[in-house]
Amino acid sequence: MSKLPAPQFPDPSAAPVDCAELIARWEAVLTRAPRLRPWLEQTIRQRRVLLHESARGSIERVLWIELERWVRQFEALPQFAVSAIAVTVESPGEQRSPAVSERVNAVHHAASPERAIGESEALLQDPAFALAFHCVETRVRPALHEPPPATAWFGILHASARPQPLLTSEVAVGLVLRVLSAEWSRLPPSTRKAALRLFQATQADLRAAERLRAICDALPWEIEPDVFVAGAARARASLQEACALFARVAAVARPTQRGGLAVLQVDRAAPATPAELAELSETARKFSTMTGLRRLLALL
Amino acid sequence: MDMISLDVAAIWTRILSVTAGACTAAGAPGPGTRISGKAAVTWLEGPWLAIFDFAALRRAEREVVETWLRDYAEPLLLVRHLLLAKPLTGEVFVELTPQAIETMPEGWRDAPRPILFLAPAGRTTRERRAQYLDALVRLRIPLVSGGSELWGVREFDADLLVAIAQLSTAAGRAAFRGSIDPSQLHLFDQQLPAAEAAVLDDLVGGRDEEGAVSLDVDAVSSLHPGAHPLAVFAAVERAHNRRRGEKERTHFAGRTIEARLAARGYPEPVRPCTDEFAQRAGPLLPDEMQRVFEASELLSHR
Repeated sequence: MSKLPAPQFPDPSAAPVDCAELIARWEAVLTRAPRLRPWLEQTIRQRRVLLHESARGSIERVLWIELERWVRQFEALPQFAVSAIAVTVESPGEQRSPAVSERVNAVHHAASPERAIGESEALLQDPAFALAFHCVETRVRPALHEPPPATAWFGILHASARPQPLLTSEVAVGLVLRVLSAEWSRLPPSTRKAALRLFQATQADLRAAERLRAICDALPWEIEPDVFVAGAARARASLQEACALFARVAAVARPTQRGGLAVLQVDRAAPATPAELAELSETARKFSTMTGLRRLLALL
Repeated sequence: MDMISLDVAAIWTRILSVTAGACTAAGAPGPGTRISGKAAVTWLEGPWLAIFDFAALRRAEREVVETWLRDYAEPLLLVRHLLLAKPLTGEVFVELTPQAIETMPEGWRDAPRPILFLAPAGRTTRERRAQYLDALVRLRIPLVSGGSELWGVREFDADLLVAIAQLSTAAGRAAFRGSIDPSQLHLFDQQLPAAEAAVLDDLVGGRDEEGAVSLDVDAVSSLHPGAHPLAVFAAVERAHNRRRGEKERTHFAGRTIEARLAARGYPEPVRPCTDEFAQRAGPLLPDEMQRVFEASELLSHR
């Protein structure tokens, strides 16, 4: 196999430390998995464009830091995996650029405020998720008692839902809860775990005061266990109401005009009442910049 | 190969949901599922075997997905620690794909390996799961000799998988782009690779999130660090199923399916948690303690 040209690495003068060793490590990885080469080139180009858009700090320096992180990921791959990447490289025809890029993207899917905003904006442009947003705003949020803050309740409610591989009303509402709970995802795992355990606690568990106290101590909020458990019951009930409302409003959409709502696996539900539809119009007025709500109203 | 007619609005909504975090596959742990912070693949060296079940897919859907797997996605699943068997279209059998044979580690086939059935959500019947079980019990090869403790079912969104497979072709993308709202085109170009990555990650459990079951899996696993995550999940799934109504019960673990079909252990006698176990388990809440105790008991009944 002929040696492919070296990828266009970032400007060496911007590297935080001597980059020669890093380049050598990349070359070693690329020798083992040549299919990564076009991916790496494209990824560097794409990252550079994205960093230009957010325009903060030295772009080349950031790229070096990312390259250093990625190479560790690839070096850690087992040999059979590297063979798997390499096995198709000699096949004629196109060299698909994504290759394993999505794996790396997924690995680095770290929650950042910018990313969270981008995710929620993209999601809420869609009528289905705009509807879910309406249900959260009108059913879940008013039922929450702080502390913990609403964003934590949203995160807990999302995490406590059963994972489902199809798009149901529960999944749609849960997803909106997820994008509204960026702060929750930034809590340490031990804190999130403690909050989830407390959320699962029943009235019977309240008798185990000492254990509950230990869990509460791991939380960043000042809250008594019984208050939290009662709040959790209200939150759960409000989530059920939100999902039911979602199904009722979705049932109003005409079959020929359902748009994205068509993908939803909604059980037969009674259609929303005029009062509930008026409530939706009110949310659309309140969040007038949300295009998804306008699109939703057009489907009904 | 014929193109599938995609519902553009519906698929676009689904893609948006997936890139925002909705899962496209769920069920038993995959090699990428994290148990107490460690990927499940680390319990037993080497990749897991994955068997796609396409029996419930239409022929055109099967062709699109099989071509995508063969020409594009299989290496991407390999790097996610999954070796593929040839997809099932009827009878259940285990036959590795040519790429899997070429890349499997030496001696991989000569020992028991974790096995994942990847079944289309909403299109798989209970009878079909019985067929998985029958086939694995019948086979006398080392690969499946770990028994039901080492296999499980993950269900995936078949409609989305078909769409992602079709959108990986230039013609498929062009047709889709021609039907989408022009203001969304830039977003579509950004979201499609992310959605594809999410689908692949979900098949292996790489995006599985913390939840009620995973908390118990972590707790039981820390008490039985040598037990394979699939075995731990099986025990936890049954402890949870005991507390669920018939409709809410899940049947993702091999042991659960086996026990249901054999009617063995139903109704199951449940012992109350012992003091000795409670001391060993640490500070769990009473209900949680009882569930973890039951799962631990099930785990030790091999």
